[in-house]
Amino acid sequence: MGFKAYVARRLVNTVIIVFVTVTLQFFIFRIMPGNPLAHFISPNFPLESRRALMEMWGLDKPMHEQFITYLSNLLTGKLGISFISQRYVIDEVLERLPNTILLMGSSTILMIVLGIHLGVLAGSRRGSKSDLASVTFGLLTQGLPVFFLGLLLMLTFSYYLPVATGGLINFPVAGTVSRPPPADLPRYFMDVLWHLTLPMVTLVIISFGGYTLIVRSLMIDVMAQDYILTAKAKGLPERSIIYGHGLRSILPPISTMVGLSLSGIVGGAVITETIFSWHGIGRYLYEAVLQNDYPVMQGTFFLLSMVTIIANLVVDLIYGLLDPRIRY
Amino acid sequence: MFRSYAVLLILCVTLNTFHMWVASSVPEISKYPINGPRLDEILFVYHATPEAAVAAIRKGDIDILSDIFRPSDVHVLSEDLNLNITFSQQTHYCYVAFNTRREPLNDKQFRKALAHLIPREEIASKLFEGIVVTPMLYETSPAFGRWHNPNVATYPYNPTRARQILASGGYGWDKDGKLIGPDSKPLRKVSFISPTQEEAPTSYEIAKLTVEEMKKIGLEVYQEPLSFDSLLTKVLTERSFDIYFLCVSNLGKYPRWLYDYYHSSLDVPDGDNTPGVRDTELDRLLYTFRFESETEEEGERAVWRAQELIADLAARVPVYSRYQIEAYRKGLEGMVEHRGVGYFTSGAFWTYLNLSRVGLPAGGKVKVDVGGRVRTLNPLYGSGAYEQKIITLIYDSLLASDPKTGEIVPYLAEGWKLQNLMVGKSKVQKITFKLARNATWHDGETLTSADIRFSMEYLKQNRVPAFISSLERVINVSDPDPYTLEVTMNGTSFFNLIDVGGIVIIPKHIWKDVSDWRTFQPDREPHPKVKGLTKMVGTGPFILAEEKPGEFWRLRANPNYFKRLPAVKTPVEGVGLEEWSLNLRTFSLIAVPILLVSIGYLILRRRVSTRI
Repeated sequence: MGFKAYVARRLVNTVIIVFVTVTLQFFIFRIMPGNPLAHFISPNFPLESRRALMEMWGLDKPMHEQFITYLSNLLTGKLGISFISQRYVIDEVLERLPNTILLMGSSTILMIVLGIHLGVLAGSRRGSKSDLASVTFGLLTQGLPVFFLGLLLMLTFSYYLPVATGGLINFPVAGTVSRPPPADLPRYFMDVLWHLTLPMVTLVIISFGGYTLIVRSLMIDVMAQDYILTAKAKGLPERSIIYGHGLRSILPPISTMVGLSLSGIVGGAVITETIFSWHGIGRYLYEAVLQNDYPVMQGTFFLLSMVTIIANLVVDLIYGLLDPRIRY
Repeated sequence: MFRSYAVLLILCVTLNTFHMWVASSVPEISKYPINGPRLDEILFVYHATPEAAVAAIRKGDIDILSDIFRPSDVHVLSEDLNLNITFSQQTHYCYVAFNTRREPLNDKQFRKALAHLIPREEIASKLFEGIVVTPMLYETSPAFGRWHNPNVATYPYNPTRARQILASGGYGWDKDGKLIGPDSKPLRKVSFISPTQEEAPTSYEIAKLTVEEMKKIGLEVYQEPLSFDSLLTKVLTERSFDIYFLCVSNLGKYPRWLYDYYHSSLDVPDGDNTPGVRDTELDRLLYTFRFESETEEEGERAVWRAQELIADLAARVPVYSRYQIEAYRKGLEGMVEHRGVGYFTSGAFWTYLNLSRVGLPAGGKVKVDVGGRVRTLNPLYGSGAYEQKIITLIYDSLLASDPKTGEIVPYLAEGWKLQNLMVGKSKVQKITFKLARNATWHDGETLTSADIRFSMEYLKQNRVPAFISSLERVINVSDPDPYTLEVTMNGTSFFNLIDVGGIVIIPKHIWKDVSDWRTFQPDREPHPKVKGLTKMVGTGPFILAEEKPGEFWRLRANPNYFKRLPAVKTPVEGVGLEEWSLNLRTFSLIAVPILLVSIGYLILRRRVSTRI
């Protein structure tokens, strides 16, 4: 089978997966216990008001009609109207997406760079102090609960240190920008970076360990291969052996890991976004689940699944470029 | 030398105490309506966690924080010398409800016995450290003022009394101590539904404690923790429960919810009468209170009697009510306590009209924690407590209420006249409002009765859920002249005036072109004529100046507000309380160490000289 036939087959599979995912997303949320009205149960919302809300949301219609409405909302790209805010889901997603991409993108890049670097270092020097330190630190940070680390950093750098140093060290308690933000662009940019620091550091500390441990393990296997021994015998510099021959050959599994983390860049980080009051997709999705806001859940999960499916497709296709042994 | 330092020390302590007393006393305001706003700007900011909000107020990032509910936060904030803490009774309560449709809970005596087994004091002291809640014995708490009937049956924790009630009702115990019914048959196993430990740890513990008490008297009962959604589905829709625990808040100024909670017409799927109460006399009283009482006195009589019957039925038993605990940084004055609401939270309208910085009667800014997610600023849809904090400062109503007594006071309507009429065989009420002549919209347009008429008709025609019950009795609205409005309503209830007087007033010139009120986001669309404004145009004391949804909402004072201050006073010159306090603190910081070092030096010198 040639590359074109492979691509065609993968595309057909992808379309089927998308349809199945979209259908499951509709029914799973409706099977879940509870309904969106639960959050309008208050003396201010008597029974007739709640019934009017059900009509307004279209939940009084038969299931097949709701499913058709849902599909048409996906096809128009509006993704439906949120029950809670009465805004188009796509508008709310686009409002939050830049914040999430900024936080998750920057932290993912940093964690990959740091994780791979430490993993290569540890794997290529097995048994050394740097190996021991990388493994220990990686295991420790990976095991830390994110809410604990996030709160610890927030209270230390945003409250105790500012108070102790008279504001010399002072990170913001909440938000993506100052409230209100600076008017001029350079200061605005710096302000965003200032707000980004703590949530980004939290995510990097929590996540880089996973990369380190996997890359280390892959590197240990690779460094024991005959071709590495040959390279050493040829007298190649160590750097060239490690990065040119060792790292190169473990790129396919690393690219799979990176590909899988792409959906996380769009999906956000619920706990970190909540602790630092970061206006992102993760918290949006979490609140939607709590409030049974079906259109938001359906819309955001649709976007997330699309990103995951496409990322998997792309990773599969570029495998051949990274590993010449793979033939379609 | 000793004498000088002693005088200095006493002076420091006295001045500090005096300063704390001055800063923590809240001024009494007795006449409404009052004029304002005094502040130039209010910035509402969002914090997603209580940790962030508490750190923000301690750090000085914000001035005001409401809805403090964790005892640990109350401790921390109370110790901060820069903050004042207020505790207010609020219209909130948590209750245990029994399904009166099922045996043995269909027996009133049995329910009364169980009601005596709720360890309220233990719950308040053990789970809330005795500071954030108050044990509650009345369905309608004292926070409701005149509507609270204190002379009803109550069920304080008393296991002995519970056993006596059961025994007198024909119940008994077998040789193993298990409860048996009047027919001498063992009682079936009963479930007690509560939220899960993960979702609501305190509610879970309360149910656990109560279940333990019920087991002690020989009842076979087990706790059934369910997710909040499942709980509501079982209780509200399916009615498949025995006993459950839940809380409800923002009950409003009048005990109107009693109708929804106990009238037999609401014993339907999704109706609020979850215990399934069906009592003809109670139905009659609640209907009279809700729809037929022409005066508050008449309504009060009906609802007091209804409360007696409700207490005697013991279908829903109160457990506790949470205080509204709020913190504000020292240096603010003019805050007003709103009965059942607190000082700064949603509904505390007068506070924001009257709030100012100490020594600055007009001007200044405050930063306020908004409390939670602001979902929309559409005044027709944003009914949540957090968005209402902002919306009520932008849009006015025809009438307001005295924060202490709850009495109706004029607002956009300077006066009104009630006429009870007969149309055929039906009683109707005609309410004639006289509007303020100097009220304008934020964009400069004059407010007229056409706007009010438009608002009422628009809300009614579109069946806007939040206003259905307020406007359901409106038959006709007319505007004979720009400052007179006539509303004809079914029935002659005193709630007629309260209902139409409380609806949000929206500008006709903006809303008449709105194609779909549901998706309209007035704060996100620019004003068609006035630059710098959005379509979020109200007549209220503040104008939406800037927002970043999910982050902050900046409101600036409406310079043309119809109740603006008569003349803006110039700021008081010289050192304000804050600076004075700061100087005093700096002075104390220097004086106290000097004093201690001197004392130490003198003691040391005396010892040395004694040895010599």
